[in-house]
Amino acid sequence: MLSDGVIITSALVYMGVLFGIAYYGDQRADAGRSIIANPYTYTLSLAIYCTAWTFYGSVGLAATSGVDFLPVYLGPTLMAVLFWFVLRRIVRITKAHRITTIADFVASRYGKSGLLAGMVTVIVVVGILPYISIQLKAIATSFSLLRQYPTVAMTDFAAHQPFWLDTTFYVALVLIVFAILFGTRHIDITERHEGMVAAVAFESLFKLVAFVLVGIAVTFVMFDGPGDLFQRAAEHPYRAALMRFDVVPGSYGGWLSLTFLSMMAFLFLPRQFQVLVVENVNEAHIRKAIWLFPLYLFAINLFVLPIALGGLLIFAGGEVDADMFVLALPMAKHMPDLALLVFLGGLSAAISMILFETVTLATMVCNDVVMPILLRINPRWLAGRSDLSGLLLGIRRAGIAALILLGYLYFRYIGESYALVASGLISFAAAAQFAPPILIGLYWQRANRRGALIGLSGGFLVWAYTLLLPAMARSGWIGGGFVDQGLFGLELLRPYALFGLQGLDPYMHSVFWSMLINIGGLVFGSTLSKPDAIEQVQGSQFVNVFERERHDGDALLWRGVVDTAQLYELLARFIGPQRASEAFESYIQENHDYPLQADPRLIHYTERLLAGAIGAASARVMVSSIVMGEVLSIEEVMTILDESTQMIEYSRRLEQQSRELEAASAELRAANNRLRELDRLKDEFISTVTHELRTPLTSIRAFSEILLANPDMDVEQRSKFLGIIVKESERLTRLINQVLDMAKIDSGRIEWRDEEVDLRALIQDAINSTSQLFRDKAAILREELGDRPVVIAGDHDRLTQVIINLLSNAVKFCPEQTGEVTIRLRPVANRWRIEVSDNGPGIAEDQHRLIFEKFHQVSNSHAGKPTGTGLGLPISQKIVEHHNGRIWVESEIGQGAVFIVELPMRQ
Amino acid sequence: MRQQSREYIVILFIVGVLALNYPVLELFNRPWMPFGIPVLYLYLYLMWLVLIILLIVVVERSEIPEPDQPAPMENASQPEVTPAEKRATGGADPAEAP
Repeated sequence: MLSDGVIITSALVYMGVLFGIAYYGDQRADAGRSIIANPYTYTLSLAIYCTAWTFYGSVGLAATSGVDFLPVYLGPTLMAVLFWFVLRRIVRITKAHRITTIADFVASRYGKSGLLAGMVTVIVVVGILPYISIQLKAIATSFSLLRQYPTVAMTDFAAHQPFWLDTTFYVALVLIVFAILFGTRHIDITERHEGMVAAVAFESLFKLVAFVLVGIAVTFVMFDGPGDLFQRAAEHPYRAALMRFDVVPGSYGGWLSLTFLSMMAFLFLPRQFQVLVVENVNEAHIRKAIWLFPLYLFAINLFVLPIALGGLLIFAGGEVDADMFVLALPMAKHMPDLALLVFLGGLSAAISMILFETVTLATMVCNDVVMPILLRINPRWLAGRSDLSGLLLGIRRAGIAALILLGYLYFRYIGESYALVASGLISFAAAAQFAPPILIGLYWQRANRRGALIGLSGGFLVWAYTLLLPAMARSGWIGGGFVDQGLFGLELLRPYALFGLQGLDPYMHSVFWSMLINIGGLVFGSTLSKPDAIEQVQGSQFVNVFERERHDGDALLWRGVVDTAQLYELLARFIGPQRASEAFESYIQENHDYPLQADPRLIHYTERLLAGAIGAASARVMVSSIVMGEVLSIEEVMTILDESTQMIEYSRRLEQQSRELEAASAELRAANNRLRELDRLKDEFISTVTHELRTPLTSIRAFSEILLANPDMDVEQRSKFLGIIVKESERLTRLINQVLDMAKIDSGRIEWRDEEVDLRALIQDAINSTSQLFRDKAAILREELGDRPVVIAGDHDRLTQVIINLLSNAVKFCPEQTGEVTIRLRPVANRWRIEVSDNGPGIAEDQHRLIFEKFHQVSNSHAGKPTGTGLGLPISQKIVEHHNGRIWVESEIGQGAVFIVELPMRQ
Repeated sequence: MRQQSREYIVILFIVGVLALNYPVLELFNRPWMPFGIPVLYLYLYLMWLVLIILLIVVVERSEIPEPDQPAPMENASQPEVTPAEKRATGGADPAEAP
């Protein structure tokens, strides 16, 4: 039913689908419409963390050590909590400096050190082989198990088989072809693989579905739900022990160290760094991944224990390796479809890990080991070749092939005897060696290259001695004597109990010693040595990535001179002439400048493009080989960097000051305008006043002169003239008094009295004062004042002045003989309203406001010749307003006028 | 992320480390099986889930622009990549994707 043909065909079809997705992803990326630019794809791609280790190995571990499989997923969960602080910083730096791999990152941080990049690469290559080997092992074991369906039996494919009969070997070959097709289609100067990320996201979903389906099948189909499963498992003391903590190796210490290892490995395994940092499209996606990724881990781990216990119950005789329970259970219960799905799920988990890991590693090997060696051995040989991009691709392809084959060799000769997880943990401990130089380097500016070199090499050696070599010894690859007796027979040097430290499980033991040496070396090495210019600049740029606006401090170190053509040639050699000319053209377009002699900016531009293709350290070596001349001193560079920081601060402050200035000058402008207006009013006022004064003066003078020139004028005539003179003098006096009043009110020098005033009595007084005017004109005055006193607070004399003014105005404009004036006092809402209405000619609508302006007099045919001073109403208005009241007029031509005053009632 | 959310995140981390280690785990290291599930498993998975839910609450409730990121994130995350370089990469600028 499940023949080899079916299995192999479905595996190849599945890989074809993955390839199709990757191809489509690349197409879309080239078209500028990325399919991975969303937080969900990003999160799924992070799940590349879950390899065959998770898919098969977790169950295997759970079957022997209970909950011990969990720290490997709790660690990344805790790390995800810290994403916003740690990962975002790394991503920001990586984007700013065009970093492409973890080796590149470490090297860039410590002054673009080629040595450090090489060392990181070597550690990664050596450290990762066990990890690759377990993927191969998982694929091969699952395949050989599945092909015997419906029999469930483990086959022993030990080293005595020749390799051409070994399925694993052919699996490795297929994977090499696949990885080369996937990962090295062309040299990309960003070293990003959108298509691969898309494929990984798909396979992450696939393996999750497959695993959860098996879990459900085991828990609910093969058993009667979790309760039944646990109940039956607990019947046996061995299985019951798995449900408690006692079976965890190393107990709580082992648990803690495993958590720590996974936290670090999750960030610093090369493929994790690739998907987490380099392939990150947008920092904002990290936010979603903070919780979505732990949720994924939670989901894929939910059924690990049920499957492990179910496997132990069903295969009670121990005939099946616990690592293969996931696949063996559906086979034993005759579910071929599910078994095939599981096989494909495990396959995809393993494939994605191998693909990404080897492509990333090959890039590192090419950029940080092979190229620097080639450059060092024979730079002229390289200089003679016009296009090196083909060479780069060739190196990478060879690197991929070599890595997978090495992984195969490790599996064949060393890793076979280990369980999946045990081998994987060796790799985790290696990846954790990068934690001190990276994490400490992110926050401690003084950490320098020498410290990093000492710490990293020390940590690596300790790791190799305490984990890798014993593993090799155990498989008989090297003599095993030193494991038990210690190196040179010294008990203190036993790799599992270094310096007599016993009682820890091997991983915790190794983590403790390697971290101690690593961190100690980094701290002491950095404290005791002095960094050079480029190290200081890079350290400062990495630590202050969020504070600084510019990230080109390393560019400032170039001050040499080089022909642009030479730079172009250099670039073209590595990324191909076509891409190089594109890059230079866009640079020219942007800067509107094609310098024959390249300036530091262009040099830096080229260096960073190169860095994308061959790594920061090699790029620096290449560029410096053609750039001649001195460099800026470290002090100068730091000054420039800090200046730019200060400049930002200054300009921020300047902006604020200029905003304040603007506000102040706006106020000043307003004040100035008001002053000008007042000045204009004053001029107008003076000219009007003098004009108004001249009119009565002229008539007084004219009549006086007549009287003087005609002493014998008759008495009647004389008294008439003298009467006119007296009247005009009165008018003059009144005018002057009013002008003085006005001036006092305007300047605020008037003294207001605040007393109790009876409005009714006040109006009565005003009526008495003006009774003569009414009599002169034979006008009638009607009073509607109510019968009770109306008390408000105010200035008695001023208010009287207002009423007198209104009454005299009213009578003034009344017709002779038939004049009628009415004065009313009544409450309106919370105010007292005084209305003075007359039956005069009325006031046109457009004059209603103007009459309250100084010296404005209604002068038209209806009103007749103006007879007032033009100051009465303005003064009245000022007084009323001072009492928080209002004065206005309601009138129409021919209908008489009503002047209304409203004053607030006393509270 | 707001200052408050950052503090919550640090607190969550500390709580997570403490809750998922000795000696808290020792409290659940016993053969008791509530709801038919071993109490140690039950505790570990529940704690894990609670941690994730709290993370969701903290992270999703802080959708407020960063004080230290005045520009939109797409630009802020790639301050150094000029359009020229983007074109040089073959136009694969993910930030411009829909």
